[in-house]
Amino acid sequence: MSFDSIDLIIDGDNNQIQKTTTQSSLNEEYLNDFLIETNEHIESIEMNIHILEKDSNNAETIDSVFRDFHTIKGLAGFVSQGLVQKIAHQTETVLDKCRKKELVINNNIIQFILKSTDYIKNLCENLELSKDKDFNSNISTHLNQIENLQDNIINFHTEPQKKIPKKQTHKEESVYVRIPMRKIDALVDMVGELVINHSQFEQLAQVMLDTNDKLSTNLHRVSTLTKDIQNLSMSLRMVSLNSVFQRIYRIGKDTVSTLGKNAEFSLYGEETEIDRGVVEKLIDPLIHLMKNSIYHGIEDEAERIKKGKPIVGHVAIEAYSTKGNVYIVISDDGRGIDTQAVLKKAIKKDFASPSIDYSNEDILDFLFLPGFSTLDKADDISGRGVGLDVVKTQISKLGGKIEIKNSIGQGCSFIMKLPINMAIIKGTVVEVAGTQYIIPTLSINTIFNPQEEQWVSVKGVKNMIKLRENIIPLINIDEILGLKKFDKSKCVLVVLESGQKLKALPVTRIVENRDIVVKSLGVDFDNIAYAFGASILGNGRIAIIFDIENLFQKDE
Amino acid sequence: MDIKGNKFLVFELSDEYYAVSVQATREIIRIMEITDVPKAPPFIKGVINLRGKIIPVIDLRIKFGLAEKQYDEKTCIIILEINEEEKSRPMGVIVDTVSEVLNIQDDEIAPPPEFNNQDQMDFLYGIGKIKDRIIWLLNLDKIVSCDELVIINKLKEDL
Repeated sequence: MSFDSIDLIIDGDNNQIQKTTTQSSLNEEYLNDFLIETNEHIESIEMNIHILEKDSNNAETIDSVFRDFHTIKGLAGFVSQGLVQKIAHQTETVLDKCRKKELVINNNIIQFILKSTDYIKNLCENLELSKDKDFNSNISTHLNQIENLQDNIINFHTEPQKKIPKKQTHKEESVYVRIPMRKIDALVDMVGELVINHSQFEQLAQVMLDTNDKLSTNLHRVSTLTKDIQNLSMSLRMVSLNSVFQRIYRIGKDTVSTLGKNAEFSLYGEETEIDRGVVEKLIDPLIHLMKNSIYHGIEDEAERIKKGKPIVGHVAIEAYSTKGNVYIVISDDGRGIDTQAVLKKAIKKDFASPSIDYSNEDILDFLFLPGFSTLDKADDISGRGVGLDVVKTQISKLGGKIEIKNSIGQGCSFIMKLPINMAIIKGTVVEVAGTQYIIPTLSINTIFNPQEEQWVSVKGVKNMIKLRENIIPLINIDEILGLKKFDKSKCVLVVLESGQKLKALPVTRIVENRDIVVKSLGVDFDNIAYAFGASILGNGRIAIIFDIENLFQKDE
Repeated sequence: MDIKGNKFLVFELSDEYYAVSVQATREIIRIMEITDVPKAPPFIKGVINLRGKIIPVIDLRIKFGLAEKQYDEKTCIIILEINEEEKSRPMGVIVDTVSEVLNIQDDEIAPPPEFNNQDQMDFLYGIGKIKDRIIWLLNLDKIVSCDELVIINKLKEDL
């Protein structure tokens, strides 16, 4: 079929341009800019405070925090956010004194700055708060407290700001451009298509021309270029994990002080970059794991002393990337997970059978089961399972995996493996009853042709397969896809893995392995649980990508 | 869907005339390969690859409870811009054939009849009467959620 088409009306973008010219929307735009920029400055402040906690005399950092507050003040004045302006101004004043060495940075001052940051954050999230009486009086109390503090040290009457550095004195790259995300997404999308189209060309050229043909050589050169453009365009979507790590770090600190425990944190590899879409969805799982580590992992001081451990507990958040994957590890030196207690609970909850001899890995896997930890008090046992199923689901939705490394008494690590970007994954194209589907290659354990003697029948139905020492259940793909005639016994079996579990997916044949540009099927198919998304194959056809997590759940 | 200006794209379904505002129409393409999405509602025929974009396609005959018909060389997919909560997205609707673009004046359009559940009537903008022809003027923004089938049959009885 051709794409013959009558273009009637396109372009919805024109309407948008008209809209923004009215006065009120102009204001809205300024306000929006204010919120975005303020947030960036807050991130920078939080990062720098982290440095000041360790090195309170770092003049450069104090300067930088000072400038951040100064800029926020200016921005707030521009959009008439008086309260933000006031907080920023007072905090800036304190920082100015620190700069001039009239005040020495101590814990009180750091707490004060963080509190100011929090208030500004609250206001940015809900500007209406500035009209709230309680909120206003909280802020007054907060700001008054520093006036007292200052009185003790220095005559409190601030002079107008004299020297404010005109330009930020960052030494690294200096020019940035702000680009709407949708433009970048559209670019990545188009380049993805370009790569696919190009590989179609190349396939054709291979069939039609011999390899020495000039056209082939040229095509190959274009191919290298397109791949480079693709990598570059993908990198536009990448952001560093820095802001996420800062957030997790702060939450960790808050949790420690709420629980009255004693723990230190270290961050490694926060400059590691990952797809923007992944970052946003990582925050909740990471917060969860961080809280878990402190709540259940780190012992209180008395217990640590008794065990001969250092009094101060330690939680490390670490990120690094290799071969298209990003690893994020949260580890603590706490008590670790008591596997026997977990097993006991799993048996009590009917997740496990007392007659089976489980390996430690099997036992840790119970923690990820929905409903494993519900009403039991968390300190009942090691109790790490609080909502870990949610964490796991989130991570697999991002195309990643999570594992636990546990050492009883010594501590515990949660290791997350995530794809660097969600836009392109390695996929294996398979055919099921005449239709092609895609399996994310990361989830495939093995592929094999079953022999007659490998089948295990339950109630006369061949629904298990024996592979080496494993007995692997089959995924009822015919039911899932509503296929009428599908003979599983004549199939190729693709063994999928999720967590530590294996399941075999019967398919008619394996077509190919290829890079897959992941696209959404759209809201109309939100209920189609077996589909993770879809992709356009080399021949222009669409194939649905299987949601492996869902295929595993379906049968349970 | 913004129904300003009175240009409508008229199409046929089972010898009846229907129309959508030209403003909501992006383009018209011939029927092409549709990828089935198993377990989707029957009226959603699947998805098409329109120059690299994955777009859902609805069969209006099934949606309106008319007899299904084999697609032929006259079958068209009208790509519409559907507005949902400020966002718009493309959607294809399969029709027997596209007939013409018509200027329909306000006085030729009868408002949709009162119906007990007004929300469910959102899909019908009005009924155009030109000469002896009756044209159902559709607003397909809520095509997926509305239960047109029931309503249309009821309306036809009343006519």
